[in-house]
Amino acid sequence: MAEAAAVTAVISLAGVNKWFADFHVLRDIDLVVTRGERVVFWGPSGSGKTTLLRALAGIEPVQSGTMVIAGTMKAVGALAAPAPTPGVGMVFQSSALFLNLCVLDNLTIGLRHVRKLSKGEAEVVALDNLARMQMATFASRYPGQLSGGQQQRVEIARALCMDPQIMLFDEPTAALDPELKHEVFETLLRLADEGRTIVVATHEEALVHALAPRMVLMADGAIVGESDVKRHFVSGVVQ
Amino acid sequence: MKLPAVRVAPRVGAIGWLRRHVIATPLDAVLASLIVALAIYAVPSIVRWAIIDSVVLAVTPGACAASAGACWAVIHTHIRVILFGLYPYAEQWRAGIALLVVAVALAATFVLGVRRLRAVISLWVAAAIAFVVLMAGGVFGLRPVPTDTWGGLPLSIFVFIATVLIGFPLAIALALGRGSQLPAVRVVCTGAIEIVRALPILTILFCAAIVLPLALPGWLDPGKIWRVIAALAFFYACFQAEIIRGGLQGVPPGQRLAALSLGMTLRQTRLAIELPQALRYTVPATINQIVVALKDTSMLLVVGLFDFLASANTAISKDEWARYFAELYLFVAFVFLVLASVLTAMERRFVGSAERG
Repeated sequence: MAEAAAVTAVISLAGVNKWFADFHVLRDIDLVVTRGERVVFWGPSGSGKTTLLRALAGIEPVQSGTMVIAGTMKAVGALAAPAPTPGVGMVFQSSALFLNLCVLDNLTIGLRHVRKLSKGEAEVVALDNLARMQMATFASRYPGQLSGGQQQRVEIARALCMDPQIMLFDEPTAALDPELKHEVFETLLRLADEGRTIVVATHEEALVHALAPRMVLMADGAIVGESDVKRHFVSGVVQ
Repeated sequence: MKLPAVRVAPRVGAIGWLRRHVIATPLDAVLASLIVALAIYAVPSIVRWAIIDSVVLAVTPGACAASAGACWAVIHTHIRVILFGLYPYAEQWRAGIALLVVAVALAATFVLGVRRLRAVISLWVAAAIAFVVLMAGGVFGLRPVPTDTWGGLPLSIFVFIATVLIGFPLAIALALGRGSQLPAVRVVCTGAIEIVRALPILTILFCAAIVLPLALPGWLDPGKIWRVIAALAFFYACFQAEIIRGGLQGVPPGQRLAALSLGMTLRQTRLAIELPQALRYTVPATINQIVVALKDTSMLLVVGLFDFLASANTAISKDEWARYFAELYLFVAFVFLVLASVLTAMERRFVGSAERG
């Protein structure tokens, strides 16, 4: 079992710690996620879910520990500057579309700067991914002209442009109306069906029911246990 | 706390309008009466001086002396010196065309707007080159005119545009440098901004015009006008840099995280995501600083350059028209007002298109 996990592991963390000044936000995190797995970080606000996601994306440096993510050895010991993890895409809690760019340019900017595609090539990839999120007709709009749900779909399309093995979602339903939440559930399931590894930080019960993931329970910056939908909600233990 | 009773004023007619807009409260009524009294006292005498009794068409000051009104004739009789200062009389048509080039560039900027920033920047670089060629000559069979003899409005506008064109990129560099992760860059940029901001502009102009030539070897000296422009540009840049830094701090932190999560480097994030947003947030403060730079050109006289105000002063100071300086200053003020209004209109145009994005 352990050997099988090692072969297909896309995320493996060992002894990861992070402090904001004196505040110990991540405590000795050990975590292995295998390819194609659906994982939910479950815990109250302030339990370290978002920080852990950001650490996985490489945009939040950690002070100690080892991280191997999508085949990249991320951190051994202290990490000074953020170093983005290739193969990992992240969708943020509140929309983080680039406000100065139209929808199409929001998608092409990463393709051009990071994957070094030409303008034309980048636009082909971008439009393809917008179409997958049913947002192709909005290509020339600006973020401020889109609804919350539309912004989120563009953000997912933007992350998909980089063709990540792992998709991280921070509270993907927090800013959405109830009727839009189902759309997000479907999107997440579709991404999982494509074989991508999905990691979601949430405290939305309906999302956990829809995704039926492996639940990683967090409290006070530490992983305190694991569960799944049946055990967790039927037994009535919340958190 | 008791809320004041709402008085419902009649909604129609002149009286209704008056009650709602002019005499809604006792304080309003007192202020309105004071303003009306002042207007009754002042407006007729101003109108009489500026229009009814004024002399517009005259070629000698004698005609003005006979009248109690404004002597607007002082402007058109001295217009070439007011506008062009010491610039050689026979070549002043070139200075006129140079002013026209600037006016056309302004109009084109207005049409293009902020969306085509690259076109606007190249346009202004081209306009600046055309301006210098026309003014300085020495090419295309134009007689060379040394910068010492440049004067009047073209000099003011040239120094102003050069200050902003050189100062703005410098301001971006200083603002980014101040937020740099390299301590040496950060210390140098912060130090430069703090020191230059603390100095009066006159000190900086004197240093550039008088002290710097003593320190520089002759072959390194680009000429007084360029030294002065460099000084003004640096002065402008230090203030503008703080405006841009404020804008950078206003960019939501999620923007940087999102760019980093896509794999963009810190530098790419700064230049392609944060800076464009910061520049848009700061358009009003930037226009403010640019208007200050425009008005600072009237400081040029203290280092012996005959800017617009100084040329106007010189035009009449030694002749029998000297007593009509008020009319002249009003004219100079009017021209500055027009120029500043153009900049304000530009702000409205730019902020308008920024909000659409």
